[in-house]
Amino acid sequence: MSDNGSPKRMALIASQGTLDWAYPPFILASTGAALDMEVAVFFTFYGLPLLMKDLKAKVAPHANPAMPMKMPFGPKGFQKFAWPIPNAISGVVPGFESFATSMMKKTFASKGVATIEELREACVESDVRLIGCQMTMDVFGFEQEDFIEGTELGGAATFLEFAADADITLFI
Amino acid sequence: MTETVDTRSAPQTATSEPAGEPAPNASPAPDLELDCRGMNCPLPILKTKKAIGTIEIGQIVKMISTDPGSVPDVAAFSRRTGHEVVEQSEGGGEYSFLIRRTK
Repeated sequence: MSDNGSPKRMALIASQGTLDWAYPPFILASTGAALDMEVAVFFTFYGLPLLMKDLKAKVAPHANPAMPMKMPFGPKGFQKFAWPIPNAISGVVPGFESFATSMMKKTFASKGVATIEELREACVESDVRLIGCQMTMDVFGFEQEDFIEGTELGGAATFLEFAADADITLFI
Repeated sequence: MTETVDTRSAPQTATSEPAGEPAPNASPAPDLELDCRGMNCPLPILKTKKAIGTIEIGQIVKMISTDPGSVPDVAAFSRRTGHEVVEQSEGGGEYSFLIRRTK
């Protein structure tokens, strides 16, 4: 229990940078902190851009047949309809990714889901450790000033030192 | 009031209940109201946690939500953090929780 002994500890690895994959680490991290857990998230590879000041996460419907393509407006029956858009189209139509991203953001907003920026802010406010992978930064050519304030830089050992005492560890 | 031992409930604090506890059927008056209607997971929990941080120990926040998921989530939040759900109701697609800050 949280009252006696040390708090529960959760260690997450965020390795994906698309809009849909950005949600799980930020939702779990902010909620874990709200449940009095000590939380650290290690942002590595494609997950690292999620810490950038200018968040550009998009959703990629191409090659993702599990993603329901639905419209966030119109009558209920229309909204429930899943558009059968084949890969051959979503992969070649210019701007399709931006269109799908915009649709997903509208749907999320209409369902009262927080934006990634809001969840990330909640993490910063509740002292979640946000660890950016130094190696990824070097490989992708990012600078420390590209990242939000509160970003801590480190490597595998920095994450593992925290994760060694974690009660929950997830790779996302 | 009789106390039953429930392993899932929050641990009891060493301090005894304050004197002047309201009658069992009377709803305690909230010290703060929080409107989470229209919000989805995990916002009601995040806002509740933040609101609890702004009230004193022993005070009560009233949270209203429309997300059915907030029912099990508030219960889990209470078990995990020890803040006590003193009353809970449901009606017209809305869920209402009175949560007392315990620490």
